[in-house]
Amino acid sequence: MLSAENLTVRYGRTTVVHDVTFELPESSGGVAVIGESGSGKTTIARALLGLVDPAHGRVLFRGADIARLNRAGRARYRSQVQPVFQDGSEALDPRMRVGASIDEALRVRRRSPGAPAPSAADLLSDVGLDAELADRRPHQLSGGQRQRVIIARALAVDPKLLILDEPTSALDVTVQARILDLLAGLRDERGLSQLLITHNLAIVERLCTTVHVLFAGRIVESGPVRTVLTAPAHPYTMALRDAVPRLGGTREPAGGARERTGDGPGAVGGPGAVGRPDALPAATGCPYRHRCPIAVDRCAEENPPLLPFAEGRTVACHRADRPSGPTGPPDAGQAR
Amino acid sequence: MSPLLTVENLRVRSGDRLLASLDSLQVDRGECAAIVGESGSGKTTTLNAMLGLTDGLTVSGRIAVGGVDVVGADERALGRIRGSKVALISQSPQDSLNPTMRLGTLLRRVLARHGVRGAEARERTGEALGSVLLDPALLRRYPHQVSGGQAQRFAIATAVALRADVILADEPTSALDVTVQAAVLGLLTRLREDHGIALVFVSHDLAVVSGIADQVVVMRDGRVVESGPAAGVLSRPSAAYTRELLDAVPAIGEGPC
Repeated sequence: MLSAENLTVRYGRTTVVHDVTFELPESSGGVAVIGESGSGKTTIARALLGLVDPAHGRVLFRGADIARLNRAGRARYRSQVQPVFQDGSEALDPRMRVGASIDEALRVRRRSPGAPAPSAADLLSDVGLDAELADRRPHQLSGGQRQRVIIARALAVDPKLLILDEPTSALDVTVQARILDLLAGLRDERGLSQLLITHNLAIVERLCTTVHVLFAGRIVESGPVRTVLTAPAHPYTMALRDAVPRLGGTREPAGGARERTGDGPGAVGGPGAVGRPDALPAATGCPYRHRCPIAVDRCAEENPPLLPFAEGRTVACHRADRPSGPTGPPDAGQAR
Repeated sequence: MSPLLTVENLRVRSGDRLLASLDSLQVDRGECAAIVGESGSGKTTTLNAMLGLTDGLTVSGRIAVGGVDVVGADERALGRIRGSKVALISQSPQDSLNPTMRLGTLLRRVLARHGVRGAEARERTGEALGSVLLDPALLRRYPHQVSGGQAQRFAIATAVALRADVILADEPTSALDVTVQAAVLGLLTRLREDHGIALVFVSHDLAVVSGIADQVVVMRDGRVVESGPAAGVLSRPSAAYTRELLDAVPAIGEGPC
């Protein structure tokens, strides 16, 4: 339905997204783009929404380049692809009652032909909110309620795809779990496609079947969520996986003489794999090499291309084909 | 030796409304106690009470930090406790740093306020930056020129330089990427081991807590619903609410597909 083809985005002279290609097939189980602050993931979201123009490459919606749509085409595109961003309090007009905010979006729908539009109350109940909340203003709602209002308003135009940029990062874990349940329900019951953009691998599995791992503006690993999470091929994916806090984690043996920054209870991440999360991407060679526990000389000379790794998977790493090498991470490749 | 932090029969009220209550908590040298709950549970109010930050609220009970009573102490006494005995690390340290000053200036001023100057201040600064693995070159930067993880490390370095015995951390990693979060949690653990710092860690996330805490206090609506050793509370919770919090933790390998 939606695809990015060799997408490159620059801000001034800085390239923040490099040659990114991925697809979101019609009625897919959800696609995740995962990466840390500064990895370019939000810029990708903005490019997909047509809010920033690519320097190279294009965004295709049902085969049509969104940069070349005419006014009507663009309006149609905007109603079919809706964003849900991190902080609901900034996405809602603070002076408007939330029912009016939703009604504003519904007016667009009422103008177009097709099935009759629902009411704001219907939409609020679709997202698990009491219709009485329509009279409240955004600051009178909790963070979780505001995020539900944002989702209700996105649903008002009957979209086919939601672009979710850290939809739960500002929320308590209990509230996060309920919002993820809501999104999973919308996907299953309405066949609503979802592109999830986040730094947290743990929430990816709830909503998505395919994951693209982004580092320094490049995709470094892609594949089915299940196999990528259980047996990551790229050391950065391993670091992301090991950094997810787990219940009942036990202390793991420290990884030799590695950087101590990552030391700590196993529950909060294996030591070596986390490496130096503050290290800046390298300007030459593999951008991940400053953090990488298994980098070799070649990594300083040559940026590894994204190549097939296994069934349905790609990875950009010189070491990927021999993940259990002499200095390799303890559980690389053979995890599970 | 008496514990570094003792709380007995603490009640914090706003008018008639009970914001937080905690009957008993003791944190020894090198230990970590976690206070867990959702927004509005009273966990941050409890932490603020430990610093004497309770303007406009009614506080009863006893809080002692390093043998010094906090409840009822005057501003001068609190000023001596804050920083030298107990340091606060907040969710977004960048917001609590003066944006017009370089990090080095900020640190020098804080140390001077506690009577640490000259060679001693320089020595402590070097040691503290080393213990949080922060490049001394960052001292020339302004708060907005460093990342969230670096700002959090700087906040921790300030506590180390002041030789604080107790660090109170309020959601210190909630605004950070998971990889940076793991590094900051590892750092806090190492400071407990190397410097014997006692840590009180406030969080909504039991998974984060399970990796760091010796004891856990679960709060809801201003009251403690469960408390005890971390291993017991997390593996055999007695309160339904604790189970609810545990179930909310997203885990890899338990997804629907």
